[in-house]
Amino acid sequence: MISKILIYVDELEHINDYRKVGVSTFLFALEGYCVGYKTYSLEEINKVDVSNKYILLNRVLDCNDIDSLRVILDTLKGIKGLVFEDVGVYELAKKLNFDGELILFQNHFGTNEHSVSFWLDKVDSVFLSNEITYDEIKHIVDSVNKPVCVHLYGHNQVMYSRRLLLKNWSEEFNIPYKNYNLIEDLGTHVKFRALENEYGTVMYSDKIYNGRKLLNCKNILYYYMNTMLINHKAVMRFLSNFDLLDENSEDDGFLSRETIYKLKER
Amino acid sequence: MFEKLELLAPSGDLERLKIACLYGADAIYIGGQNYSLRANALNFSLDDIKEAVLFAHQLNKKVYVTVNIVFHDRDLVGVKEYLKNLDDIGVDAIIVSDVVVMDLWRKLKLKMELHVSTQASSLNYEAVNFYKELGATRVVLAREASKEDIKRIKKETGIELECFVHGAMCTSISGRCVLSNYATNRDSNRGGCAQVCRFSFKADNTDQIFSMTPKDLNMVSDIKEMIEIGVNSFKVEGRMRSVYYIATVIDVYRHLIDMVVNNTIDNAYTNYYLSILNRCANRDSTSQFFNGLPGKNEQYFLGRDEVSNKDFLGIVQSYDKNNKTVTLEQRNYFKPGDVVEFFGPKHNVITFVIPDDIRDEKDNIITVANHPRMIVKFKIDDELEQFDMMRIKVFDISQFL
Repeated sequence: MISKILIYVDELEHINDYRKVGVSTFLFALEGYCVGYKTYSLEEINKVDVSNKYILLNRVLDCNDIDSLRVILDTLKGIKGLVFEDVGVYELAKKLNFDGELILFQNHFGTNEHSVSFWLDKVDSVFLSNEITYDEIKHIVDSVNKPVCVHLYGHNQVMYSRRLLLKNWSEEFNIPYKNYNLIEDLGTHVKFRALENEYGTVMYSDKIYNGRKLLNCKNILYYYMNTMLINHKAVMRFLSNFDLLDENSEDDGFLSRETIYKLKER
Repeated sequence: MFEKLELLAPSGDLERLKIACLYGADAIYIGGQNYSLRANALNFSLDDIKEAVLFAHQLNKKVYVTVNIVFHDRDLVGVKEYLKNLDDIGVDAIIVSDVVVMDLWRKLKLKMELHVSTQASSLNYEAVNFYKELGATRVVLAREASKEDIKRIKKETGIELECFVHGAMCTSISGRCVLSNYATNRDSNRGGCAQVCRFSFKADNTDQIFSMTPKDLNMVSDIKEMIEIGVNSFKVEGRMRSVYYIATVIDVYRHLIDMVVNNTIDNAYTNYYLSILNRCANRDSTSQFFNGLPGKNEQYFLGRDEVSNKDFLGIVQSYDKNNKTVTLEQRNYFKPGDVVEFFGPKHNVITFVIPDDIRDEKDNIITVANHPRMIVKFKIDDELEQFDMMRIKVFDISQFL
């Protein structure tokens, strides 16, 4: 099972710890193409000596980004594949005959068997949504004809804005700027973790999603662990024993909690 | 010459659709009772859609139907039949974000066009090319598109581009937010958005309470440039907005687009129309991403009172040419002596002073029109039409010339 883990590398020095417990596939957020993650330059990523390296591109890209990505993809070497949000990346990679793997990682999409199958005809794998139930995931996983990716561990991405929300708040109220903050909705008392860079703001769930229930699924290419904003010891604890659940800081997201489509469903 | 230009209006029901058509929209987008992102609105039954299409097509207008939720497997039950029904009815296009519907549209070989929703977050030419290859004839760009992006996308793809010009904004990139799922268990991408971004928040490093609410979008000052860089369809947000809002906003943008095409637009009219729209709105508005990244001045941080607008005084039901008498349905308080104006699709703004002799439905003389939706009659020499609107007179174009 550990061989199927795709882990986001938040600190380069953690890689050895991950390797020691058997993790062999790593995800690096590329500078300039990601929000909500600590990013690395291409040079930094190239220097990392691991065989299974994927690059994350999770921004919604504008035209200039596509232009510069064209240059990067043309020269990219030593990379197993791209994990991307914007369908423009797929289109560009296709035109450039990019020979690495392509994994579609559209947050909040990948919610039904047919859409996932549609994409699996075009790319190597697809991330399933974090907002569907265990049964829905199981149905998709059992129905599609290629292995897919599911979230296993980490703060779930809840919102992505192009606006610099933390910077705006700091300027408006003359509060010292931090690019990370824990915010609480005063009505529902639900908390979110806001993280910002020059390309926008991402809100993560406060609690760490623990998807260990999915470990019995077949037809999985990768179980994704997003280590962003998580203490390294907690990550290593999870890697050493998937059965542990810290009920204070973790939950299973929507795996057993279906969202409401229409209010009359209540 | 400009390419095909289209003013696209929202409608939450048949009355609003008719108003939008009459006030100058070239096309109207509506939601069915399923599969649409305004899940808790009344929306249109298939019979309503049929009536809407008949009405719109008689006036040479188009009707687009949103099928833009992100589908879970169980939501797909019946969608094939639904799409076939829309096609049979003569709907002109569906607006879609989930590839499952795009794929169905292609496999079913439907006549209606495929438009890609803003929920798909298209912000670059390769993304648009992807949808073009799937058969889409139009892409609704993400609201985050800058003028440079719009221009470039048009150049590289040649596809019809639709952009929002007026109305509410999401804090997030549309489609990339599930705050409602986490805070209220309502599914944002299946029409359950509870607008959590407009709630009050507190951060852990300050006691200051704040919200993330963006100001509204308003492209009155930029409409000429939008036309020049190749936008084809100018979309007004707000399927749940009032008839007055729709009439006012559509009337303004109709005039603006026509003036750009006729090369008669100038700052005076731009400022006049801006004033009218600002008066009609209950939030401030800006051009948001068109001219660069919005900063702190393009959003609200604290709770505000959204004052309900009392400018809308009545809607004309009929006009008796023989007696030169208008019958209207009251929407806000008015009385003899009030200076008002009538606006409508077939005439310029008419300034008028409410006469002393105003009567109710039973022809009793009344001193004020103070009951919501009461029927009021009075004489006026100018010929009016059903669905003309009466509002408080606040601005006159002469103030801006």
